Amino acid sequence: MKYLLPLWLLLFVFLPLAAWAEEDAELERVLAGLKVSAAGIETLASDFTQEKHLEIFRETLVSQGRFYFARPDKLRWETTAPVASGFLLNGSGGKRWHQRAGAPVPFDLGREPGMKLIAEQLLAWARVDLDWLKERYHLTLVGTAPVTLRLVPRQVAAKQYLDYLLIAFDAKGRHVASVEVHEQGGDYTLIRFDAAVLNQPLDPALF
Amino acid sequence: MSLRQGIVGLCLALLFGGCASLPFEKPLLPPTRILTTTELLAADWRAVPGGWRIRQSGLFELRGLRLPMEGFLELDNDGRRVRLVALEGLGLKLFDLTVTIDGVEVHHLLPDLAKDPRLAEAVAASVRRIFLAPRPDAGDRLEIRKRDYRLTRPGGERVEFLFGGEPPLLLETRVRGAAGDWRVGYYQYREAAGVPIPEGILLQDRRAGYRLTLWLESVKRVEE
Repeated sequence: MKYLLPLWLLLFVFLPLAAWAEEDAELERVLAGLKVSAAGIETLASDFTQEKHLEIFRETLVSQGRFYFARPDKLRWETTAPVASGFLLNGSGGKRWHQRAGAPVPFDLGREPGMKLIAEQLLAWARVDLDWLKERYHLTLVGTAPVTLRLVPRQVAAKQYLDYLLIAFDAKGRHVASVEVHEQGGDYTLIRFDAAVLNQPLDPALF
Repeated sequence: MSLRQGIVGLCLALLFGGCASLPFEKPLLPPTRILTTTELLAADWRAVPGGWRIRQSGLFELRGLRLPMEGFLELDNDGRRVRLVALEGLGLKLFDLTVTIDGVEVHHLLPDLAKDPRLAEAVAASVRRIFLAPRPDAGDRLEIRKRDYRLTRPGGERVEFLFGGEPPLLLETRVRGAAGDWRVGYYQYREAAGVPIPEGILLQDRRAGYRLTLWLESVKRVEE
């Protein structure tokens, strides 16, 4: 009987702690690897498919488009179907457009928190900015082939509408291949980046 | 203007809410023929039994503000209710509402939007006018004119339903009275599961000063 307490401690305290320490070390190894792999990415162009899964309707809404990124802070997110819409970002300002609204409208991130939130997320994914992501999310390693991370928001405000993110990288860990945005309540959005072209010159007119 | 300010602006505008060109083709109106009220009632696509799942895009306009939007809705013609989900560009759900002819149930409202308690009611009012009520009924008075059919509701408030085309289809609902001054136009009918459904809808509220244009991008019959 006198040996039961130490055994209990070993099983329920030290073994899990050891496992967590091992997981943390594995996560840090993977993140360090991603940093090295993604460091040389200056431009990225890819197609994307966005699937919105609505739990209540058992329905998936599919949109398609093109995504462009040029380091450090240029983005173009262009949905082409079913409705043309999107935005471009060049530094702290840009333009957005929507087929239903007519001519593009300029914006300034300093004045538009909603737009800033979206732009920051896309930039962090495109740059594989792991420090930025770690500041805002608890990261867990879900898989290593390909590297897949689960991100749970740290801030209470973000938790109100976001349950977690699931980010998968391409086989070489150079860029994000897909992002799942899971909302509270079961709905989620899957964005898949396909036919990615890295480090090719991009037409300046895109931004 | 922030995303939140824009959305809140949209919804406030729906409460307090212009003029612009019509983005849809006006219907061709051949000469009318002898028809009964019952035959016209059957031509209201909103009265067809069952339900529809509709993916839509839209544009809200108020005094220079032009706010595009996208979303999805399920119209239950039997239960006379609409479940509506609005989404922002990256797919985040802005709100999720069930609208009935006399109420609204909020299933989800982005926390920033929930700060304005009038939002849900404002969106519900527009959805109700377009999809749910008023609808023509057997008590309405029928007037057959040269190019269209007009059903008028007896009573104080002016409520009219215009039908036209061949076969005749619902073209417009007009309401004018103490409760408001607005009209909804239904354009470019196309068949979905054998039922003519409008491709474009335009709600104009003259008193509030706003205009809401909807494009029904895809329409599917609900299969239970």
